[in-house]
Amino acid sequence: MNQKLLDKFLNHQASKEDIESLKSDPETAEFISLSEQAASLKYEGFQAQENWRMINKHISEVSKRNIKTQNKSSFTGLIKLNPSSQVYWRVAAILIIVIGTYFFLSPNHTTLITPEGVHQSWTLPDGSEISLNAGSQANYELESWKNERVIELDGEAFFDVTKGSTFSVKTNSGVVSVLGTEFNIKVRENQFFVHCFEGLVKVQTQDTTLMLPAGSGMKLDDGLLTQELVTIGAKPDWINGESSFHNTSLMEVLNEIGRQYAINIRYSAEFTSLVETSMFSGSFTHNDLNIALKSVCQPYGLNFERLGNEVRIFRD
Amino acid sequence: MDQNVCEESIFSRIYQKWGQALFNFIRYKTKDVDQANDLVQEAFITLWDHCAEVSPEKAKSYLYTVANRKFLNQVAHLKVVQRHQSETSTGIHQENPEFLLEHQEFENTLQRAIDALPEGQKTAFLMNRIDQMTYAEIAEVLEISVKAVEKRMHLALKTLRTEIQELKNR
Repeated sequence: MNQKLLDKFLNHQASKEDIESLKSDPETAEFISLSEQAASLKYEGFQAQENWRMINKHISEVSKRNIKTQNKSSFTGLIKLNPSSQVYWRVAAILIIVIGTYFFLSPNHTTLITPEGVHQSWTLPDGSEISLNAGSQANYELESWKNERVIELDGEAFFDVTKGSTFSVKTNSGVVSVLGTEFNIKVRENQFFVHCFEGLVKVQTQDTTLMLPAGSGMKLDDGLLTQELVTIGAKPDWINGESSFHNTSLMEVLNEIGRQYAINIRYSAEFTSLVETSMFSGSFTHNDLNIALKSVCQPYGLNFERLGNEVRIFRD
Repeated sequence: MDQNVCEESIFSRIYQKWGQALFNFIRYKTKDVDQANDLVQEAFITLWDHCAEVSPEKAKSYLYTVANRKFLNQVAHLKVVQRHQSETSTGIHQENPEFLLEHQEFENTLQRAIDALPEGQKTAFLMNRIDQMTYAEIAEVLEISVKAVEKRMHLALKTLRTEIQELKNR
């Protein structure tokens, strides 16, 4: 019996000729047949998706916990940058962005997160301030921050930027650079908004570069660019405890209620097209869920029911 | 180490590649499907919790080590399973020989003969056959030498042959 050749076969390295030769010996032929039969045995019951769901649940729970501890250290571990003779003046910027869910941590990598239903502010290494709206996340590299002020944003945030080198915010929809200004950015799945309240903002998207002076704004909706106007010197409504919309789909408005109050909003399939196609203009408060739901649902003749963390939307 | 499994894309690729094999590994030791799925979850969760310390290349053996250790810790359960397994293997002797050579029956017989193998031989043999792992890969995750894997494979084949021969002749 050729033991070496049999091992070669078992090690998944045998050629056709090797196998032929093994099969010509009745003893190894029997081992081959046994081995091949064994390969087709079934050990069923692997729950690939359910297991992965449970593993992911753990990952997101750990992420939230880690971020909380990290946030604390970013408060105490501030590094002052560019303390040059240059006169500091402050530029306020509001950035609102939505990107996919994604998570990464390393010693040099700082991630700031607000879960749904929570607003929070941090000071960045250069003294700039960031306020995250509910359900948002921002990442930056501590090391490269000295050379380049770049932050990645997912969700919605207000920036109060210290004057210095270019301050860039990267999003899935484009890069926004502060050139000394006060501005507002909002990215929602297929939409991207930038509103400039003071100074000047540069917006770079995949196919265009725009300069937005104070009082102007832009909206990129599924690739369609339109101009918008804002009041110079104003602040976005969410900073003052309200979310405002102009001609926005009801679905996005409901999603925003869910984000602000950390609740799940459900509606039966028959309302899907109504919710997707109806447009909403108006606002809802962040202080009272019932009033918020009423102000959004009533115009469409919809009613709602609260069950703990869930809100069910229906029609009487 | 510039790469570790904390990156979700790497982590999910590891799951896609090794989730099923890890499940099988536990299933070779137990018939309890729920326990095997639970241990897969626990092993991957442990890997995630230590992701910064584990390189992608080491992730596989880390998973097997964790799953195996956790499995052995469930001693009380293991005893029940072993009792169950020895009961089923004694069942072989009640088979009616006339049916043994029919195809489905042969598979059942093979399955029972495999179930009756000593733990170490059975695991190595099935990892090699079903999960298509090489001797070196098996040696790595079981933390034994390649020579030891070879030996287990030979012994397993010989035992299986004898067992099945015996059944044919009865």
